[in-house]
Amino acid sequence: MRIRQLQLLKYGKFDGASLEFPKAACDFHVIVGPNEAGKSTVRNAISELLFGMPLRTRLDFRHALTEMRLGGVLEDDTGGLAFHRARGRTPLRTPADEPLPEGHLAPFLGTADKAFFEQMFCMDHAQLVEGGRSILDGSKDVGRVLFQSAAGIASLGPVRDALEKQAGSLWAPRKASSDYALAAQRFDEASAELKGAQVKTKVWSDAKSALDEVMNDIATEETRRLTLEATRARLERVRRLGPSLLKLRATESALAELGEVVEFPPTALADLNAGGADLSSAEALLQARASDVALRRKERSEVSYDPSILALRSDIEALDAMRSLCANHPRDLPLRQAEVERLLDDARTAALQLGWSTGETEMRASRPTALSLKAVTNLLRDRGGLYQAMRSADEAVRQRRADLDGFQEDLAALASAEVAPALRQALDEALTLKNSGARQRTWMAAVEQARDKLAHALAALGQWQMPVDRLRTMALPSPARIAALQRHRNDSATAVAHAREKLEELQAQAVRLELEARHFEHAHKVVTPTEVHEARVSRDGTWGSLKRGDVALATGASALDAAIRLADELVDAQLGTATEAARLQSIRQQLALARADVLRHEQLFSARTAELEQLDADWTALAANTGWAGMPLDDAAVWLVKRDEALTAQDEVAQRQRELDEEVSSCREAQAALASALQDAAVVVPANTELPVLCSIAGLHVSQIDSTQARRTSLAQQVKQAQRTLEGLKAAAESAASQHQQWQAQWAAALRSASLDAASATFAEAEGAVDLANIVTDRLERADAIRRERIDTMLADLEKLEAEARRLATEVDPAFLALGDWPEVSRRLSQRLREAVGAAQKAELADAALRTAQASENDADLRVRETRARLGPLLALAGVESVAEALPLVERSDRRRALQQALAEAREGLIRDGDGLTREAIEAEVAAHDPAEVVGLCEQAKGELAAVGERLSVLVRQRVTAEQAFSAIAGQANAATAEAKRQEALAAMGEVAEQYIEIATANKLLKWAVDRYRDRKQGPMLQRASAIFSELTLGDFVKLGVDYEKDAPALYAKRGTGQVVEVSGLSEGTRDQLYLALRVAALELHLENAKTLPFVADDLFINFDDERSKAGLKVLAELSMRTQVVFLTHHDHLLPFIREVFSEDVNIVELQREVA
Amino acid sequence: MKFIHAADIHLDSPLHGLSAYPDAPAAQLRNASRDAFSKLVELAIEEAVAFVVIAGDLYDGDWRDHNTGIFFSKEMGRLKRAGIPVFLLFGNHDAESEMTKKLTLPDNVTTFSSKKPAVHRLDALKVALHGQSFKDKAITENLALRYPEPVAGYYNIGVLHTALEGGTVHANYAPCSRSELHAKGYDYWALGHVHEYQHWAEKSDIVFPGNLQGRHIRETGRRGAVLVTVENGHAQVERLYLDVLRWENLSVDTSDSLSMSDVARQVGLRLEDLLSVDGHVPRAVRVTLRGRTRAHGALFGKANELRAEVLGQIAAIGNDRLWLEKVKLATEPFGDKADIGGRMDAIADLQEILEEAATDPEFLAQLRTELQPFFGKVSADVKEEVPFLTLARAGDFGALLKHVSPALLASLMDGP
Repeated sequence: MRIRQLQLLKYGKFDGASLEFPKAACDFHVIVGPNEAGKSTVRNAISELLFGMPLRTRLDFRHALTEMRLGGVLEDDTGGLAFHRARGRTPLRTPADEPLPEGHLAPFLGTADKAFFEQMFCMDHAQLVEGGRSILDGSKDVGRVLFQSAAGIASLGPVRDALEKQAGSLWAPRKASSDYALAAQRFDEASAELKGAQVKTKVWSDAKSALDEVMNDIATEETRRLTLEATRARLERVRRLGPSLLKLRATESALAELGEVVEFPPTALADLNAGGADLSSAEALLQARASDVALRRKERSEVSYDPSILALRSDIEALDAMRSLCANHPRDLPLRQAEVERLLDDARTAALQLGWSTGETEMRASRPTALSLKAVTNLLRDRGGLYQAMRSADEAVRQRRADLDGFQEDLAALASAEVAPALRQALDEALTLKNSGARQRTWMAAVEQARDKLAHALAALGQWQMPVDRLRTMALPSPARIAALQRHRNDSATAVAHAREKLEELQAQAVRLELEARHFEHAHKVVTPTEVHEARVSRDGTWGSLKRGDVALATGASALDAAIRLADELVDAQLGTATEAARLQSIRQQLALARADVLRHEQLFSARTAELEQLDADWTALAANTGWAGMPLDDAAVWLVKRDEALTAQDEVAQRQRELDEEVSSCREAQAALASALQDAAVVVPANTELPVLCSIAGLHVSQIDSTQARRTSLAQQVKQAQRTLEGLKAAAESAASQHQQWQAQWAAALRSASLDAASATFAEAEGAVDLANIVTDRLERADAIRRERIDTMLADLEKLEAEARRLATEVDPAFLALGDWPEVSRRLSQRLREAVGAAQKAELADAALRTAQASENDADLRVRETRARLGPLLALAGVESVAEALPLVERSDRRRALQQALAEAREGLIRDGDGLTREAIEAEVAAHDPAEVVGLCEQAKGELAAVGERLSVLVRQRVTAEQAFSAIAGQANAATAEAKRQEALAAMGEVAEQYIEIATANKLLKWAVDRYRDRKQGPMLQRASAIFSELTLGDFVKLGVDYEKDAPALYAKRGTGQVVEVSGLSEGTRDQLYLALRVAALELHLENAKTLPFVADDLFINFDDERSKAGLKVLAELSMRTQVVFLTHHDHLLPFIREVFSEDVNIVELQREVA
Repeated sequence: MKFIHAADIHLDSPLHGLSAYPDAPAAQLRNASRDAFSKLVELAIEEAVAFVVIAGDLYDGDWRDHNTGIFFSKEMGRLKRAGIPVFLLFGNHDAESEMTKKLTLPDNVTTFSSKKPAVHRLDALKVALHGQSFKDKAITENLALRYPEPVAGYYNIGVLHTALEGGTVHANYAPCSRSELHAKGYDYWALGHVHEYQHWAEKSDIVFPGNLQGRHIRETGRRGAVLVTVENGHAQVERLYLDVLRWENLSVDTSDSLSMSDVARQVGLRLEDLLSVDGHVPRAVRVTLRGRTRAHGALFGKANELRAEVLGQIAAIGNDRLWLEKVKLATEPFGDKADIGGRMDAIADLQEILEEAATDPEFLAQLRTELQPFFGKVSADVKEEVPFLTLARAGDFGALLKHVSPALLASLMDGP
């Protein structure tokens, strides 16, 4: 299949482009264009036209995804097909947009899919380099190199490495870190854990029995311990209570001896002793307090003071404070008044300069208001700006007017001129031919080249060379007829060959059968029915002769016997060799058939040979008739192509000559026209001036006139612009002048209003007058402030002091009024007050001391009475009056109480230590034991108890151990958990095992299959690749071979010098060439059996030098004789080589980069 | 009146086929059979059932840890404290177990004798339970024949460990027919032994509750016991789902996937769907990838990567809810074998050679030699779920090669 036309209807940057791939002897097409011209898009388009567009694409930047569309015409031996490829559910459509079925392209594409096409039939520089690298990677393994190159994939090595690595990580002998080993280790650990955690039922039963036993032993020992404990307690009691019992009995008898006693409280003795002492000390204190009271009364009566002055205390203190405040006033008053006077002098000086009256009242009247003064200040500030604006506007008007005058003068000085249209047209036409000289030389060279080509083409016709005209008119058979004749002859030759082969085969078979029959006969002594029949005929004949009497019995009998014996023996032998006879018979039949076949095929062979000879004779006759005498039929088609080339070359010579003539004539016409036009424009030129010189003169003339015209236009525009600007400037100057006048009017009014007109003859004076007016106002305001805030306040304070001093002196002591000095009066009043206050404080202290002394006296009296009351009841109980009488009675009562206490304690001891026994029982126990033996018996009991205790503690330890052992089996899940882990490890082992078997099998299988592939393909592929590689390396290398001495058979290349180079020793570029050679060889072998598809080579020779590029092109030229080759490149420099290798007519499609 | 009928508890029987990986919920699910049983006890207490019937196979026959029995005894103690009696019948597995004979059970547990059929009456409820335990492992006689006549005026329950009418999955112990059971005139037959739930509500209610907790990939779906409510002599049977880990076999169609990550995404979506029912129950999942897919080659030989991808999806959904049993590759290459043949290129040649391998004695001998060291190393305990191992050990490589060859070819065409 080949592509005749590729239409990029709406695809990538293309819109309606169509690329044509016309068929030629070498089906080779070049698509050339710079980067970004769309080569990759074209490459994609070829693939997508044939196999469909993907769901997503980067090529939808111009046309929407749904609108993208390709078209094309495919063709093969059976015909052509035009169709469109769109997106969507029915992507295949007719050019008229009618849907086509999905498999419509199948007759052209077979079972190929996109992946296969791109893998097998597309190749770019990157793939070439990648392929070269993959050859290096697999250089030690020729099977891998061949397979990868043939399949166009580089994955074999990586896949095999990945399998190897994967298998190694899953399992490897003695590898402890493999997945399987790790899982197995987990399995062993879990198994050990399970063994440790599992508790068999018997273990549990044993633990339970052990616990029961020790519990029984403990119960027995416990009983014994209790018995011993009771004995020991009894003996201890006897020993403990014996002495207590004796003491109890003694106390009871002492109490009985004491008799009747008055009973006092337990504290009576202490109360009596303390009460006596308290009473005597209280009575002495009372006496001392009474004398103290008398002394205090006397001291108070000696103190006196005047209370009336104390009533005025706060007023006198306030007066004294005021006195302190006014102390400095007499000194300050004259100072402040002098300060006021200085300020007024300053004001007067300023007023005098302003021409005002200098009296204080007049100055105050003349002062301008703040508003009028501010107005003058503001006007002074604005004046400068307004004046400057007016001056600037006037200056601008003057300047612009001067510019305008200048432009108008320049314009008047420029002359006006025009270029004649005839001259302009003649110049334009002449310019296109200005470089015609160079072109004419190129055309001449082209004519020469075409002539050379024609000569070559004619020479290529060999002995059947003749003039072109004769060639053109020759009545030759058409290529189709020659092809038909060739086919016919080939068929006939094949038939002859077949017939010969078959005949030879049959003859051989006949000879073999003959030999077989002979050998069989010889080996088996077979008796055939014919022999038997013949023997019987001979016997019967002999017998007939005897019967008839032809032979005498005596002479014939022995012959008859011999004949009968022979016949019988033969019959017997025949019976014994029936099977062999049948076999022999069969062989003979086969032999007969074979001989018949030989005969038949001899006839057939003769017929076929005659037919072939007839065909050759016919051709010879035909050739002789058409001027082709001696032309072999096989060369006729090629000669026809060469004749076409010669004719085409002749056409080209004529074409190139016509083009050259046209160029020369156009050039002459243009020269005449331009010279005439220059003359009309009054430009003088010498006759026969060359066209380029004429072009320069005319060009200079036209450009001068054009430049003057442009200057005039520009000046006119500048005049208009200057006039417009001048008008605007004038208006601005008028406005500025009017604003200045307005200001002057306001200035005169403001000066008057501020009474500054007299002192403001100039603007500088006016500024000074404003400052002076400000000074007058300031000094007057400061004098007012001093008067108001200082002088008036001091005078008021002094008046207030006098009035208050006068009032208080009148009330306290009128004699003070006579002093007249009011601060002194105030000081004396204060003195008097301090004296009165001191006396009053003294009297108060004396009163307080008296009150304290009286209270102490009362307390002492109360204490005496209380003590007497406390002792009263005890004395009444004793029936006596004094403490001394009561004391002996109380001591007797205390003795009785002590004895009773001792008795109670002894009884309590019996109860406490008697272990609950009654006094009688204890007395009986004590009486029953000899006190001397009790201690010994007690120690014996203790010894026995200790022994029991030791046994018990041993048993308790045993019980703890047994309990621990038993309670350790508490239904925990340790064993179950361990078993779960064991199963988990087992699962992991299973998974790894499954994976390992798969991976290891895949690995082994792949190695084996690739070796097999090598065995089968190595011969033809290396043979073809050697030739291509030799061509690509320009003969540096002559052969590819396989070194079987290596572990895996390895590929090597042999130099022309005989040197053998391993793949790893090849340079990178040579490896790329090797890969290309292998790929092309594989492709050629593939094409021998499979449908052809176009081979797309995308910039394959980027890294090849010129010579190697040419060699590469030659390889592709050979490939293009078998299938269509589309060669994409962005290198213009390859084009001459391409033309050289193919022909000038090679189909070159140029793509242009779109200008943004 | 309500009672619970359970069977085939197989306490402490391990989960099979689950390998532990770092994020697997292994620790919380290793004791699934115990946890499921504890749930059963809790539910019995919660529902305040009148009694519990266990119809055999309490333990695994070859399980030797007495702790299992103690655990059972403790759980029975909980039921005793709640005043719930238990009727326990021993099946084939229990008959093998030493524990059955030695274990001391609380007095709320009544066991059925293995010598002859016995009747236990609950007079307050008017319920009679008939049953006979297995004396030894293989009882092949029909025990039901000798069960006593029903007690008149009582709700009669027959407790029996039986394969019933001989399923092929379970050993054919104590065989009998449904019609024989109906003919006995009992109201309810509490059966055990068959691990799948079945209920025939005809003359009698004949019920297999199924096993309490699935233990391997052949026991998929919901598992548990049944709660039987009897009113006016009529039983209503309600399934109780008590499994704490549910087994699921998830078949994923990968026809539209182009790469391993596509496949993983697809699996992730399906796993999420899986949890839309009973999302709180953790799942042990086998993912089986099917379909003719372009990713076939990319998946081959990448079991670990594929597993890691699927585990990534599981991590996103919740590691505590999903435990990946395995990812099984049952995909097929995209396109036809014939299509590759039609290419007539090196790949087609290789396909032809690969097909020859299965009948090439020299290759088969090489392969056997290659794998022999591994066969010698692999533990005899590894036998389940590795069919290729068993076949290959026996020298049968046919299925293995049939599986490996197309995948190898696809993987070559896709690149590693």
